[in-house]
Amino acid sequence: MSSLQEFADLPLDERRMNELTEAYRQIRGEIARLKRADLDGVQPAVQFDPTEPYRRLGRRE
Amino acid sequence: MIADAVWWPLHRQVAAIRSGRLAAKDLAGAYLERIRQHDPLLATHVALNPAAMEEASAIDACVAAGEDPGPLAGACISVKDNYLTAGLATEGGAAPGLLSLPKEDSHVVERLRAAGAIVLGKTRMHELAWGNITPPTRNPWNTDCVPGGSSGGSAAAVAAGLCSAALGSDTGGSVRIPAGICGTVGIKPTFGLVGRSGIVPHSWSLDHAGPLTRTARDAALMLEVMAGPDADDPGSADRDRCAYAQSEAKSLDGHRVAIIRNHFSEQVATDVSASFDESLTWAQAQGAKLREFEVPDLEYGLGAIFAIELASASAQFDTLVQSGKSAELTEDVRDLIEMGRLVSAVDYLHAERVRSKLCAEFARIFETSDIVICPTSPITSWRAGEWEINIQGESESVLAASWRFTYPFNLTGLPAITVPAGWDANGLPMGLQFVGPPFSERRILNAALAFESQHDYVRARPPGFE
Repeated sequence: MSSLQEFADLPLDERRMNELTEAYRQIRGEIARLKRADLDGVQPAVQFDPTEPYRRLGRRE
Repeated sequence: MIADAVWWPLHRQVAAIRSGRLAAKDLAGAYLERIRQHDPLLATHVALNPAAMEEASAIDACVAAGEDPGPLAGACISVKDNYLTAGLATEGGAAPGLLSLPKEDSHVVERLRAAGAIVLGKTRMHELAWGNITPPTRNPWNTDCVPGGSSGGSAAAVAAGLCSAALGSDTGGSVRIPAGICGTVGIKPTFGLVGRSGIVPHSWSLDHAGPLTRTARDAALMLEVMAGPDADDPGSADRDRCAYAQSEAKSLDGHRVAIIRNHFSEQVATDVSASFDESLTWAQAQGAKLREFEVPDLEYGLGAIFAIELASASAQFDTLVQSGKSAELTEDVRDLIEMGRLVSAVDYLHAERVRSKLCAEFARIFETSDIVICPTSPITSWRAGEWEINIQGESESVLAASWRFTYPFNLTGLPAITVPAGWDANGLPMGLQFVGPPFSERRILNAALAFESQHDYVRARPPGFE
């Protein structure tokens, strides 16, 4: 098992892993561009909200 | 009358059924007959509701008894195959049984049935909503061409007059792209406005539910029924429904209309570009004030949506990968489902940070503008089996090109509607998109109605399907 298979936790044989990494290469180029974005002081658009389950319960009642 | 009624806008059909001038049973029967006639070629539906005629008769009985049959009485709705439905299997576009989904109504389908709508059947979608071709469905305007996706069956069915309206889901443009290239209306509401419980998730923070219809007024009527809180959708907004059906064709006089000059004007097919210029001329003639903007971080938009969508869809369908069942998917979808594990957590969070910036940049635009307009897609439909397209001398993947003008509004969660905006030189439909700030559905519907009322595009029927 290659390190990539192990770390990505992909139960695929070597031939399939090669196909997959090749297919990913072009998309990876777009994702790699994210490193060039000026993200200083910018938080991700993902918020942790501990009150959310309580509000959901309230909506059901 | 019934041969004509199948082409009536949904709101006209409902009014006729509610007043007893049109029998719901006749309408449902006519659509089922049209599906039997045209679906061997178009392949829009994967299943028909065996109880549709019985449900239509119940609406007629309700009308005859003087009871209120609901705001969508007798409307025949075709449902994308990723919405759970009682009495009908849901496969999410995958091989039967691969996902093992329950036969119960999703939140939206429950609302539609309560409003008197008839579920006509389930429409074909691109497998797991991960693609924009929807094989083997064909585009009614040219059956050698694709209907787009992933709600391709829904769009082709509406365009060919096989249902009153249809349901779609939109993660990067999957309502608006097929609607645009099949010549129908499609609305992706603000994230959270329409509950998604009972829709097979694809990417939790990008998925939106929306209708595909023949007119903007029909979209307003459908949205009014579909919108509202959903206790089982963590993304649902606690907002009461608005009276979307009261939307009016208001002039754009005095409206501040924003045009985004970067991203939305790059690599656009000549006919689409010309059509968009005509739309701008129309807006100016209405009295709209055009304002130009740049959104620099759109440069990173494609990387951001790829990172979020790949990682999310792979997490959603990880059991398929871990069990080896992803090998049963078609090659392109299998690639996408498996490669999400190659996206690093750091890249995922960078993508979510870019998303924050994009939301802020659009908020800045809407400080001084009422609405953004842009083409729905830089290209019109393409031939089945074609993977590259030539746009103004440059070759580009159809997959990359087709969603370029739609995915920014999935990243930002903004409401966006596409309306028919004419045909290219090959007779293939083009769409125009109106976008507003969060929860401004009334505003974009008003603009869409204004555009629709002054153009005759929505009355056209694809040759061979009249």
